[in-house]
Amino acid sequence: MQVYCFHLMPWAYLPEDFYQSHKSAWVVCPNTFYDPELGHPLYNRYLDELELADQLGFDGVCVNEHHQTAYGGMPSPNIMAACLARRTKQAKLVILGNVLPLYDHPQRVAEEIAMLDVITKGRVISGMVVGTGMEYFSYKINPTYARERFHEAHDLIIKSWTTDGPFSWDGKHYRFRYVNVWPRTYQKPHPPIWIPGSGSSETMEWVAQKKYTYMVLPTLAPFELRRQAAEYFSACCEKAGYTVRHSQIGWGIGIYVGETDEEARREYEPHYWYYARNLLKTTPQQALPPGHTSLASVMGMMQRRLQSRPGNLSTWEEVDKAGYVVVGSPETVRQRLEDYAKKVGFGLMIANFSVGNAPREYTEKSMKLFAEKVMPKLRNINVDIPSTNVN
Amino acid sequence: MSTHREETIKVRGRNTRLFSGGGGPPLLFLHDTFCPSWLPIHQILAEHYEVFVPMHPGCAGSDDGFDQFEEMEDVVFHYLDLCATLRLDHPVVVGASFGGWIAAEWGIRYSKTLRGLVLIDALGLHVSEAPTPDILSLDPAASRQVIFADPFSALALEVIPETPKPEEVVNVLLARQTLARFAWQFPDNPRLRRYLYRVRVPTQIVWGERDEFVSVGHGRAYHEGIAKSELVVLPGSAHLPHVETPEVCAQAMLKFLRKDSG
Repeated sequence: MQVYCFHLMPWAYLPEDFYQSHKSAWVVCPNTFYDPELGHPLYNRYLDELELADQLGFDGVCVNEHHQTAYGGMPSPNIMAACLARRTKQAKLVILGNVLPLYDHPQRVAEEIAMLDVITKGRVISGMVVGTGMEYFSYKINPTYARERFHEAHDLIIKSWTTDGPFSWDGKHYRFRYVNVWPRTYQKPHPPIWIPGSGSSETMEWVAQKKYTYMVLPTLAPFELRRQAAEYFSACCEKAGYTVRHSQIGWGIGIYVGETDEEARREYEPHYWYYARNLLKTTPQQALPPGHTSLASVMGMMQRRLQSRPGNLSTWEEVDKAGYVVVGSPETVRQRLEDYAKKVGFGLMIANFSVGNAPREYTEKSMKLFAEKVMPKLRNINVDIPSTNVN
Repeated sequence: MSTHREETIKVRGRNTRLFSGGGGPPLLFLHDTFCPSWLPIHQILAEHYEVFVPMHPGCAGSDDGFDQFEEMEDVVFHYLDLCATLRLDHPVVVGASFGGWIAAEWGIRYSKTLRGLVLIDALGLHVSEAPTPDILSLDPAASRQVIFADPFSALALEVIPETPKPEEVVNVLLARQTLARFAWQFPDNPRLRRYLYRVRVPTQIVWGERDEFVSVGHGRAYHEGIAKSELVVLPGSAHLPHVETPEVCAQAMLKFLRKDSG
């Protein structure tokens, strides 16, 4: 399998009583909590961690987009990818992804991805997302148009990469007389497309039809639900007339490797709770604005997801059992990941090593132990057989 | 006391859930998105009018038709089409909350099609000195605070429960979608106010004094903008006077309608 290093670049300095005193780390979380004097070293440390991943032989590094939140520090993922473009040598740059419906000019995404792709000689993977419900509050985008705008923006971007310009686009949400994206992408026909999802069946059906890669987001805990999502995606691929490839299934997961199980848990757990209780804190109204998610999905989520989100889990044992994170000695982590990989069939692992407000030493130690003692043993699992009949 | 009818009619192919009852001149009641149903106030009005309460697109069994409803004007056309379908001639149009916004958008364009207009705590105006809360970001308890004069009453808990009953969940979600489609973050049309002078039909503006969603400042702005209008402020209610104090609200409306709209 291929292993990618994912980062949220969270704000690490929320006050001690944040969970009790604030309703959400999103949308209305006061930006007075952000201190640029602390932000400067934090950003650079986070970028160092992704650069380290490149040096340690990870297949790629991943950034993503969130707005007005302590949860993630990358309102512009393309800027972060640009910071990494010339400082990494081998790793793919995975933008996971641009929140397409937020933008009135999807060409901007097409242009920036193309710029990165040419600069890096084709190391870019382009993720595209509908985005969390919270982004629709932050950017005042009507959530009842979220899906329509996502699909139309996607179609426009793909066309701008694959059709000679200039051409005109006459859609519902986007109308442009002149679409003519400079530069053109380095990769042909265009950079690979990854679509992260949290279990919506419509998304999985669409990704399967497009033959893109589906990434099962870790926020859809616990393990069994996430495994079912991957299984459903595989079934969607069968329905679309082909057998899913391992490299079409991405598995997002939090990982921490210590010398021993005991050390790993001791070092990781407090920072995990900072993440789960503070950074994931949102309101049902923010998370599910009307129309953002289909009625069927909302009904399903009301029953399971909101209850099963880790902020609501009370003990480490529950978190550990749910398989939301894999924490332990190199041997424990290897066993568990192998077990998951064999049960699910994922050929891409998108691992987050930097949790909450964990200090640099921990994250780096964990990444190094993982790269040295775990990663080599995962390499031969779920590798696609080169096939001539892949479309 | 007459009983009301429930049926689904087609309005240019769109399934539209319709409640109706009573007898007399036609009165079209455009509902709010909190209580999409036949209400006690409709029963009172039905003693004097033939009352029609169609469910808005997406609400309570009407098709959402969201591909066809993008602007409030689309909804106005939908109700003009509904009047044509039902052969309603010069109805009195009463609109509450979201329905009041539709009625106001109707009034600035086609007031000659109306016998009279009643706006109850209508959304629609951008009044910078009386900003509205972001209703779709509020949890149920906070919503009850801004919508009801008594947020702890049984009525408030019934209309906005902590958790909707399983059989109600879909309707609640759909009504919120309808509200979001037209009222995302700002439940208004900033251009509506400048055209209020075009409402040339006798208009009553009924407002719950304690409305903290669209406060009485919006009622005054409607009153200032519409020449032939009267403003009635009801002290015992908030955003839903037709639900909170139906008897008082209905009597005020009937008094106005007898006087101005026959």
